[in-house]
Amino acid sequence: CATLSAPPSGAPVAAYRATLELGGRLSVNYSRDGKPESLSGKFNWTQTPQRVDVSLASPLGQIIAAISVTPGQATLTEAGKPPRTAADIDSLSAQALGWELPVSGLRDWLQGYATAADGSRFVASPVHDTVTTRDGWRLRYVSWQEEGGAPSRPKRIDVERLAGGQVDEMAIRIVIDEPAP
Amino acid sequence: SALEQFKSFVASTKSAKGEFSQRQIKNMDGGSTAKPASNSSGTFVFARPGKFIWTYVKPYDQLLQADGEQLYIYDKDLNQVTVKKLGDALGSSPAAILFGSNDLEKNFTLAEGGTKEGLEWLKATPKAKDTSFEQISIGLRNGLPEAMELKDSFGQVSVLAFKKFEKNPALGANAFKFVMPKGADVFNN
Repeated sequence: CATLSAPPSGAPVAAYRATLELGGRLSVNYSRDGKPESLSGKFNWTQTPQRVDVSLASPLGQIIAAISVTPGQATLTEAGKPPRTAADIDSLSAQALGWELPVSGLRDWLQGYATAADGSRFVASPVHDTVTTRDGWRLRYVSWQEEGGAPSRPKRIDVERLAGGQVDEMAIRIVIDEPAP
Repeated sequence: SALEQFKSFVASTKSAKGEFSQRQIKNMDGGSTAKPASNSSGTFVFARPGKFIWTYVKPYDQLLQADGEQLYIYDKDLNQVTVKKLGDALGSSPAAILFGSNDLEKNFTLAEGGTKEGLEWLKATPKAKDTSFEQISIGLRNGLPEAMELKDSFGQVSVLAFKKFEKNPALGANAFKFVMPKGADVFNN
């Protein structure tokens, strides 16, 4: 018999953690020189208060790019290429990969937190699942980890940057498979 | 030798199907630490040249399918189908080794990799430099591939094991025709 899924709980997500490791899958839909491009693969995300390390891999598991971000220094290494460094990752990833990985934002977003356009602190929950952030990204918390009992953790997050000025439209879909134990 | 086994496999195998399991090993300066959470498994079917369906069943639903012209990547959780021209996507990927056209020497330098775990290993090094692979090894026994090791340029190794490998099975005419899942968002590149 079809089980009625429980009404969405209003309980907010688990407390923010400054240090954690996540893994999952993502797809990035963007445009480069006016042509639609898509990347889909796996990611691994390791975060501490001073550092974020992200690796992007193909569906078969080969690492395509490894990114590390510390205050004031971002390094991006693509497979078979020398590492590139810059002050911030957003411009570096846009240059090297053709799409911008908002690493500083994701520190919060992956856990269901964000700074809303009006500067207030957004905390995601099944009944409060959409926000536009102060730096112009639209987040939608599409699904949640089935851990039973609240508070829960996000499973699928859609991150969208609306086109405007010379900024192209871009959409990242993230599914978290290995939430921090 | 591994090369003889592989050549006979390529010559006698027009199509095949079976099951695979995949695990990730990160080589931390020599030692190798398996990443427990990264085990996956599923099924595969292929027909030369350039047709295959590589389906992940566990731990998630994801499908890589090539119909000879286009490559489709469908992820159920992401609810997305990405469609790309097959062309260079196959090139020097592991798919090319098992499923591609059979002039392997065009894209890879082949070498004997010796015997390990009862398998004779063939080492294939991509000739193109900008691939995400440093080396692909294939372990064969009785003329059939039983394992593959895909080493990327960051020292990460994907180890694939094949089971229930069936050579030249009966396949329907449009066995590789991609069926668009209902409600999935499609992104053509």
